[in-house]
Amino acid sequence: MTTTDTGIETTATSGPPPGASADGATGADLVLIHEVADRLIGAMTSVIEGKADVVRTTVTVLFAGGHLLIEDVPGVGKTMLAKTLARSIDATVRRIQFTPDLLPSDVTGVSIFNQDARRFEFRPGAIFANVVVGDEINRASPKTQSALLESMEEQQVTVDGTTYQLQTPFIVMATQNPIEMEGTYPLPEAQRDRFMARISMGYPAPRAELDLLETHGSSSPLDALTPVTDAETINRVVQSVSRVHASPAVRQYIVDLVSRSRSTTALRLGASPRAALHLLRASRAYAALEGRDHVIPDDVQVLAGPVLAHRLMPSSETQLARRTTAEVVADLLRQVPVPPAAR
Amino acid sequence: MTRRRWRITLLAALATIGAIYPATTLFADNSWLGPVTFIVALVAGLGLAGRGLTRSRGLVVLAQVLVTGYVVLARWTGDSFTLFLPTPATLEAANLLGLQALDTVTRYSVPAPLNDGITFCLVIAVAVVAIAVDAMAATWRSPAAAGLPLLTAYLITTMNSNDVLALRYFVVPVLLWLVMLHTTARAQFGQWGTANSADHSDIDEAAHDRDALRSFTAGALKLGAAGVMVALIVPAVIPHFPPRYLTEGLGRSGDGGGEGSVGFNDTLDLSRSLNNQDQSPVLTYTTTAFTRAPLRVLATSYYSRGQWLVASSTGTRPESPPPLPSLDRRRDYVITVSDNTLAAPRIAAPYPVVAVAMEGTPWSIDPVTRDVRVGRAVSSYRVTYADLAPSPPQLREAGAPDSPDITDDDLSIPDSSRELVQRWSDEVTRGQGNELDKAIAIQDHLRDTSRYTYSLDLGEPRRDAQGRILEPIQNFYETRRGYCVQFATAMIMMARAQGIPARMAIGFLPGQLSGERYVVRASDAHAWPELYFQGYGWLRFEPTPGARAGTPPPYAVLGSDSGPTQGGRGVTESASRSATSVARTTAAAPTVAPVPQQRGVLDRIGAFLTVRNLAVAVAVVVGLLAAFSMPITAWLVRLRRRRAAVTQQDLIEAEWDDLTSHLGDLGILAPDGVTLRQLRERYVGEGHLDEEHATAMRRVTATLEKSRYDRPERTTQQEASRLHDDIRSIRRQVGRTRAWPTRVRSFFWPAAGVSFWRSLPQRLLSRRR
Repeated sequence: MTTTDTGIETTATSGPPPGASADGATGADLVLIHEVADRLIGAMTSVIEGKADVVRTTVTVLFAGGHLLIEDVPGVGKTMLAKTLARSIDATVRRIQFTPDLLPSDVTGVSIFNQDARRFEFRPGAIFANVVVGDEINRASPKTQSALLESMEEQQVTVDGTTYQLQTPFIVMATQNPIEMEGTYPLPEAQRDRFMARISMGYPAPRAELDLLETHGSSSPLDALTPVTDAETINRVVQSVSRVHASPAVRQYIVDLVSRSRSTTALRLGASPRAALHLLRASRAYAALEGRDHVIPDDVQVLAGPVLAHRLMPSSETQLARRTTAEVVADLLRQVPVPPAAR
Repeated sequence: MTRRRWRITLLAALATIGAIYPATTLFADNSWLGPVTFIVALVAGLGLAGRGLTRSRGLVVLAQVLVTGYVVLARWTGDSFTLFLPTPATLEAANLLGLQALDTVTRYSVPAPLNDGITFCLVIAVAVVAIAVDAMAATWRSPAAAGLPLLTAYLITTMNSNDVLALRYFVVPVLLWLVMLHTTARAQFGQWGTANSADHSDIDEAAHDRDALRSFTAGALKLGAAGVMVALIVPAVIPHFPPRYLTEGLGRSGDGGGEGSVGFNDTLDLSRSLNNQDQSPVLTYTTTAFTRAPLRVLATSYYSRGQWLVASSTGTRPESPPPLPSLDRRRDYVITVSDNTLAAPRIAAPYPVVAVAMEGTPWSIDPVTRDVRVGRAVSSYRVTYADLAPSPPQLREAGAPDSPDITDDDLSIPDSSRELVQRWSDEVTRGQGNELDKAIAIQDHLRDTSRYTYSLDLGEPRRDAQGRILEPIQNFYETRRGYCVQFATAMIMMARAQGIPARMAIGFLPGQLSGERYVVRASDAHAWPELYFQGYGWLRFEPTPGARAGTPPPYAVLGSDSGPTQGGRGVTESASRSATSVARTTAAAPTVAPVPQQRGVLDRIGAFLTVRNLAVAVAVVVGLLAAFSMPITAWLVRLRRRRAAVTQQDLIEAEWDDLTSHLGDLGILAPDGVTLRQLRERYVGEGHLDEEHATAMRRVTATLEKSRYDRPERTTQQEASRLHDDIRSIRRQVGRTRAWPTRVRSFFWPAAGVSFWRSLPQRLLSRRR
């Protein structure tokens, strides 16, 4: 891994840029977003073949400034996806292999006593990077998990009473294996809520798998990958995305969707307000990716599954019927009218 | 494509021959088939060549007409050609041939002998049909239309044939026509397919085409099955469907008034005919007689299944009519007819005819019925006729009818009504000793207006316990209403039941005096019975009461001994039907002829403004309003919404709702959770929008998307007005792709209007609250 520890920026960094939300995304913003997205997606698809939608969602989450949970069976390329994204950006990247004996301080960092200087020095943990790849996050103890998740939400780390700001952009891509449950600590719903989206890779199509055998046989295509953008650009893109216009109709649609998820009998736990927020942000990023400076309900529909499904808890009837929460979300999309539907 | 053209041309020619072929039953020998086939082949060949050479369709038909016409003229009137060109003499020759054909047709009954004239006319007729079929099927590529000339050709045969045509005569041309339809439809369908697959040559496309073809075929099969069902069920539900199609009814003028000849056909349908109210004159006449008798056109004894038919020669016919009584027992009068418009071969004259004088026209008298037949229509003629004027005592002693004049038909009663007629007749004639008294009893029974009602409106036919429509005689017995045909038929059957030979005579009432001459109008058509009395022949009776009936002859009036008297029992049913010309002839006093019926405009309007008519008008208006209530509501709702629109966005939304609701009516629904883009794809796909309208649809959704989800100020006025036009064109286009029942329903039952009424109670309640 090219993990270059480039200092720790503990100083307060950029708040929201001036005029971020009021003005709206300009043509220049869109051009920038489009350009960066093109390069990123191009680079990633050269490694992750036949998974265009997964790549697209990944980039969407990156642009929306969220974190990504990749959940799937072993060996379908979860880690590869995370690593590919990390490699495509010229930024600090850390990879944490979660194990049951991993300590919170390994993630956040630790203050150790410097004999020479006779004072405590903070040694930053793995989380101090732009891109953090957390492998098999469900193997870590709940204590370690919560340390990671707390810093994900707050974008800061507090050790021994001192608060350290994390770098921007900051994206955590955690992978999780839903099959092997022994000796694991599955993320509780409350913590899964911190991830903007969950995606699953799925098995590749036969042809893509054939290509994969051909190209990956000799050497990893990952080695040939060079960064196509840098952290600073991603920062600007994230700010541009937040300026994408979301009309009252679209916001209403998101609220309708979320509130319907709370009232439906198919779910024990509906979507949180944070989920609504995440859905809006992700939809903005997706709209920008599509070259639009305004969100349309189609964007919301595309992202509702990845953004909402992992936060919802199915009711016992749903479980008995062996239906997944993703299916429930699809049902919600069919039921909730797209505004304006008033006649 | 060329091969298909070949096939269509060939099929058109075959279908023409197939439709003409039944005419073989009309003629004695079939040698005309050769030239006819040649002509059909010529027309087909010309069509094929013409279509190959030029794209101008009119030119092809013109070439066919000219060349075929030349060939026909050259073959039959070639002697008159000079330098291979027709001359005026050619026209004359053709005219002679036509006259020969006409003479043959009028003189001979089916099957007629064949001669040059007949062949010539047949060839011309077939050429016209062949050119029409070829032009429609191949030149204009709409074989469905070609069914019309084919049907016409077929109907000409059926109308002139006395027998029921065998099914094969119909099946063959129809099958050929269907194959023609199929071939063209396949060709046209194939064109769609190739146009599609030219764009994207996918394998799926072919499969898609096949699917489409299959669904098309399935639809066509369903339609065909439904058609066959209807064809089977409808005739079963409507029995007594008159077998004559074009010239039904008596004395019905060809163009409904004014000039033009009046034709009599050989059928008299008891349940339909003789209710003509046409006031156009048929003929005018003067007579030397003091008493005017009805003018008879034809008589028939043959009754079958509710109809009087003029039977073709069955059995032995006498060579000449039996001699009339000697001059001392009869008086002869002369009637001079002019302005006659009755179509050949019939003329009207009082019965019995002694002699006929007309210039240069051949005529003959039917030996049995004494009908006069003429070779061609004559406008004026003179007829000498006899007034037998027998006295009742003489008739009472006439004795049992026994004469070669009487056939079995004159005494036959339909099996289905025999019992009823016998019972009825016995009841009526109870206590009467001789034929005359029986006949008078029957006549007076029927003329009794307290028992029977004269009406042109027969009402709904009654049905028996099994639901079958009653035999017309039974029906008359049940309903006790009818007009001359029903009354005359009843009397004939009742007389036959008493052993008196009886037959139906059809003709005209004596008409009314207009200036110097009597005028007989089409509405004077009348039917009456003739009963046979030994020694006196066929005598007229008059069982029809009141309006539009004649007076009974003197011998048929009880209590009179001889000579003309005021007719009947003074049955003067008031002419409640003012439109009917009342022809109560006052026999002894022609000076009191009815006033000519000249009615003022005010009278007409007054007559129209009856309570019933007003009620009908109101009902029609209310019905129309009710039928159009939903479209009107939808329109009003739409209008109100447009007026209520404050911003441009509201207006655009209103337009869009208009479209979605209309397309929903047409069967393309917009489910709840569908976004604009998904809906757009749905409309484009299910609405079968072509590229132009799909683009319009994309424009519409783009504008709407902008208006809804982008910043409001970005939607321009131009886009909004464009949206309006696009939506209208899309609506129209989608409507075109729907089946007509859907379109009709979407018009009369629009969701926008229906939902307004459905939600009305709710809205009223909430407003009150």
